[in-house]
Amino acid sequence: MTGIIFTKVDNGYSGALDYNELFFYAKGIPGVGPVWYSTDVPLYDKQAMADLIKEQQLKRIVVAGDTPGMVKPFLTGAMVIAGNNPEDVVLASFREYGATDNTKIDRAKGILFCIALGVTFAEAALPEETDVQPDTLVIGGGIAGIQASLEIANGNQKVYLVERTGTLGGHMAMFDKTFPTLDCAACILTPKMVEVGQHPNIEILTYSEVKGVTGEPGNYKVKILNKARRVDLATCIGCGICTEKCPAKAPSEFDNGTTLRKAIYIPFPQAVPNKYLIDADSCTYVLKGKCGVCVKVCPVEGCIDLDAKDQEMEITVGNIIVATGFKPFDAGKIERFGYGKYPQVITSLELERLINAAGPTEGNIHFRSQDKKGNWIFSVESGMPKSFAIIHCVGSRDENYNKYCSRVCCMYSLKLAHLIKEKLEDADVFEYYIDMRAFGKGYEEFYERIENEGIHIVRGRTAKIEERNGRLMVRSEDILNDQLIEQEVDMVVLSIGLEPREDAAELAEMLGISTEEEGWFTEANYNTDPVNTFVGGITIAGVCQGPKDIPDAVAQGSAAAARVLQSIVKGKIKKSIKDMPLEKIEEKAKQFSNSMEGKS
Amino acid sequence: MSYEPTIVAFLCNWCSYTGADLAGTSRMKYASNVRIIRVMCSGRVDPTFVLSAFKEGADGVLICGCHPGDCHYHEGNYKCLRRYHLLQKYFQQMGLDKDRLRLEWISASEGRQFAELVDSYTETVKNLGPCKMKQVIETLT
Repeated sequence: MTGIIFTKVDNGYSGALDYNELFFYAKGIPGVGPVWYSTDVPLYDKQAMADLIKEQQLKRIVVAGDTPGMVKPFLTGAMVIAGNNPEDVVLASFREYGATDNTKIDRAKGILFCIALGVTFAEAALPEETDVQPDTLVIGGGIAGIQASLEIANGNQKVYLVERTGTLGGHMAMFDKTFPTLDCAACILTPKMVEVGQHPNIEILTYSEVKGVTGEPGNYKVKILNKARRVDLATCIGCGICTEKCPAKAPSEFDNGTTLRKAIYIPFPQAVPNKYLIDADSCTYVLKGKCGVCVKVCPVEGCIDLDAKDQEMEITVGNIIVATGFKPFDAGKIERFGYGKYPQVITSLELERLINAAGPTEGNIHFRSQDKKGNWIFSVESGMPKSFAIIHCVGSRDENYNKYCSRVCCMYSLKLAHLIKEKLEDADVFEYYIDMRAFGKGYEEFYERIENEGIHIVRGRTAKIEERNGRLMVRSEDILNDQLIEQEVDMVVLSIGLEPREDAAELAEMLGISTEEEGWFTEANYNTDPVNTFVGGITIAGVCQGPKDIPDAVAQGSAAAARVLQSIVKGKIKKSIKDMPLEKIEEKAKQFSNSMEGKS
Repeated sequence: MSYEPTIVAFLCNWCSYTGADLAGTSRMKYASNVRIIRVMCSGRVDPTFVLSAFKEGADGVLICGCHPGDCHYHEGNYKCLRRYHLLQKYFQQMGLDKDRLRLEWISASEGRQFAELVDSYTETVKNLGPCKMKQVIETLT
């Protein structure tokens, strides 16, 4: 007969395992005789304990608890005195197998059950393998999603790439240059986008969103909402007449509101797919019910359908890669910097578009000005600023907003300073930083290079930005010289940080994966398993797991693809441990236990 | 009828060809005199390519590559630059105007710059007049 002794540790933690429940559960396990708390038995008196063992005719003793190893030596001694095998004192350590709090009481029960039957928990609770569907879903068409899709598609497997906006590319497409190599971002990204667009194994679903996920690892049913594009992808010839004639305008998402676009538009000239789409929020026909100019001028009959409705489709996939990326911090939240109040306070992403040769000002930095209709946009007609202040850590490393470091801002701020100097040689550039985080290969060298280009790098936080004499006055501290400083500049650039998407939590719930306090998706293990989640068949890649730069996002995209290909090549995928119900574990433990008895 | 020169342009796949593509998709207008040949890298442009272009009747040759430091193959554009200087010397010896060959750096986001470059270069070649290379070779052989 087997006896169970619980070593109860009362650490006053409210979420701790409910030992009373486990106690009663233990009594019901087959083959189990007496169940005690360690305080109920003469644990430290070997002779008395041995007598008790004899009296109860115990052959095995299971010591269960958070740290059961502590009392084992006393019991092995007692077992020897009682004439039994000392190796028959076994431990059921809840913490070791991850049953750390009361939400995981089923796992604790499973551990107890297995050990009592003489089966190791890892053996019985080994997740089952199931067949895997060969298709893969990639959520997010940014650089991480593109990379992952290409890796899988080049392995001859089908990929569905779902993208919320009208084009692939994500945030990287908006950047002018990448740090520290100063490569042109479009030169790296656009050939990859074209490759995705032409790949026979990739089905691109732009302007679409994932609406629901059911099923289990290896066999997910995914509901996808195809938002009405109102332009037929197959017949649109991309002539551009509709955009020319369209009367409605709205701020361009791709150019970060630095310029206006029409209601029927291509997000940017190198978009993939390079077809038009209608923005329902600004289209006159959708809003007021009459216009239809685009339909009249379109040379292809039936190409534009203004009354098109959203459609839903369902696909079956074996694996899902989540690469949803980030949302830039809303600089308007920090009132003291005056974003939205002073037109010459701009965000780094806006400057990125201004500097880009394909941007609204053809690569020249101009002041923000009002057009005839009162929209604040950047145009080549206004003057050029001569001095700049770049403020680091806007919305990052700040208890009031985000505590974490966004990781890329230091480097991209240095890059922007360099690009400003490249465009306007005589400009004065001031950088205000807290700590300079140049953490990667070649980054420190890049920092040194920028320092020597005549950029004023000031260490200290910025307190406030005010308007004075028509210019902007930056009040800041200079820690290294131990003084408060004021500097008048023409333009202030806020280096905004990275934030999780607003609906990241919603998606996480849909997929059953978890998010961290800040909202980033949780990986299985920070050091050794940064792409898997706790749910089988769902991997994460890119910034949605935590702030990272382009090389890291690309590397993670490839890593996620490797995990997916691994399961597809094998044809089998492991279910998650948490999918396993207690009954299943009990059943398997019994099976193992019976087969062991048969052998001996 | 005014004289329209024929210009052969060698564009690198990664930066300049994408830049020219951007000029096209952005609907920028530029001179139609240019005949684009896509090469994987400006470093692929062998000097004999340039010479055979003239032999076949081109009036000017334009080579575009990634900006220095941006090359997809690390140093292809530097190799191109060396050959360009070499060709310039050779052109002088052959009595060809050095303006008949031009090397420019165009990145993928510089559609506008590409369109402007084509326009200005077409103008330059127009002023130089037709290249007699083809005729000379034909009369000699």
